[in-house]
Amino acid sequence: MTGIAASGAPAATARFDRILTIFGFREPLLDRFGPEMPKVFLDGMRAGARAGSAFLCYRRGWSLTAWFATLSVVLASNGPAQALPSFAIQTGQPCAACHIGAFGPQLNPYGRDFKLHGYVASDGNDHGLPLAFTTQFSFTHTAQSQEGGAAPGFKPNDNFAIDQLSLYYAGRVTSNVGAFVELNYDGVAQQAKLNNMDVRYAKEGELFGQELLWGITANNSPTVQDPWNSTPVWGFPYNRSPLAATPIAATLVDNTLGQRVLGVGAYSVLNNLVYLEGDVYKGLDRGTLWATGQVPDDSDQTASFLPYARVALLKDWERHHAEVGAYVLSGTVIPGGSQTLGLPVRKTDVALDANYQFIPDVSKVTSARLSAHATYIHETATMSEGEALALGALANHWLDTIRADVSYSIAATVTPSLQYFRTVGTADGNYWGTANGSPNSDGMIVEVAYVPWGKPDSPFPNMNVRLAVQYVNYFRFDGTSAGASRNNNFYFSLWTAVKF
Amino acid sequence: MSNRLAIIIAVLLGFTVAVPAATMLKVIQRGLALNPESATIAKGDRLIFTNEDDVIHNIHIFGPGGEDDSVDLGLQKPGKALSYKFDRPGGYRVRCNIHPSVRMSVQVK
Repeated sequence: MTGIAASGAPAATARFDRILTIFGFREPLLDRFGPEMPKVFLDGMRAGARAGSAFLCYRRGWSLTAWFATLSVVLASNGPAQALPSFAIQTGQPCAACHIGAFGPQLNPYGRDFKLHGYVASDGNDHGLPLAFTTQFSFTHTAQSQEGGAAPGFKPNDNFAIDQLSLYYAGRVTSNVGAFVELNYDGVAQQAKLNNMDVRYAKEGELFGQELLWGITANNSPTVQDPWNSTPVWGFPYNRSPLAATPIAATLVDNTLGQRVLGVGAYSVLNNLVYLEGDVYKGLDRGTLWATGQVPDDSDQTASFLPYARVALLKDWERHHAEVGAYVLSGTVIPGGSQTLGLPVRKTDVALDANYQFIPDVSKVTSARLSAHATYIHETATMSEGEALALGALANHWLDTIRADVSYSIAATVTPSLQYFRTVGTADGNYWGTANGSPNSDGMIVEVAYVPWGKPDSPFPNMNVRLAVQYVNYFRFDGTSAGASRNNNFYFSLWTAVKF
Repeated sequence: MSNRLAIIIAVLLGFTVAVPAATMLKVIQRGLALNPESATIAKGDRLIFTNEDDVIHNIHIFGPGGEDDSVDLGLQKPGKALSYKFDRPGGYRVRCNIHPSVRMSVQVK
């Protein structure tokens, strides 16, 4: 035996057992990890302490006192916690009841059910306004420093950042109406804004003798209302560095319209087998975009109506959940970043998606969970011949994106994940603005997330945290494999959620 | 002696026929489902609901009178049992308010 165990100090080992219990592992230390773990754990704690010291020296002057005060406020809060504590308080459930890995946004079958029923399920008690607060802090290291700084006010490399501070209204409004509305402060852009919004009405009934759940949603981003994590808004990775470069090309449905449109739609689930949804979005004008914290020219803008449709087949049986589906979005937009110098492009996205989850012990929310998602998006983009000629670009383009990820959550505490992503399309230098005209990029993301609490017997029921380390590796970036690895990055993040 | 015993047995048998004992059926809440999903019982029978999950559930029974005809048995912690006696004939629905898809139907004759 080595480490502490080898020192012949069983009391020390027992202390580690207690520590590990606090940190989310319910089994005795040696039973789970064997005698080698204490030294590894100690080394890790020491490294963490060093990283923490560096974190406290964050350039914007957060002092130790401020951090302590923040932590005190967090710990002094009351009530159960989860990814969004207001949902947990409303339902009396721990985070792990709805979320794989005991932290949002990855949903399990109950989490999807809760969302489809309009965020209104409740333990019957009055818990006041469903308000929640989350924070995201991070450290980013890119393989090559970014000249001029990773973002205004940041160093070329190795940056600490406040990614987001978010306030939510998340939960029941009436017996049939619920809302998820997020206001946040983006610490990198230093901008407050209205983020994701999904307000819905849901009702149960029958159709031709079959069970029918139907509802209406008002939301501000195509797929934010979707209950599966294979579609873009809630897809993996669930957070990523705002200080690392990302490829230029993205399809319309792939988050380029987030918070830039307002839509209304209706959905239904027939016999827990068929999901149907139809929405219509309308682009927000520049004044409204400014008022809600968006920079109009940063991403796609549109004044047109955009139809969105979704169909899915779902099946829950024993320890399995599976879904296959498709979604479509179409509209005329002016691409952001002056990509087409303000000329409009008609885009139509047709996408397929699939989900699979395996839960070995359905009676325990801390059961291991295997989860896999995949999506394929095919986009056609068309400009008028005259405008394409004026731009010196082709009139017709296509762009395909495929993403597939798999994760395995251990005891709802440690969740390793792996994703492959790939975007390919028509080469056109004047359209994409890349060095060789190609929009092609592909790569992999590896992540390990650690969530100590959010389980039924968690010692800190009033809060939850998610620590994650993520590595993004590019094989190609904006059309070239030469130098693509310069954009590879490590992203360490700390995500907290508390009852507000 | 044998006559008295015969009389006692006859009386007991008579009661058995005249007043059948109410039965109790166990319903297990586990893995976001109620098992069995449906049951047909006699008037006066009782269902005992057990929670074998590791999270809190709820048992809410909707009677044959519609949405307003309901009894909420309240929250059900892991391991706790709740029971309800069905005194009126008709179709009942049982569900967990916290987990909307957890439900069963009960037909009382």
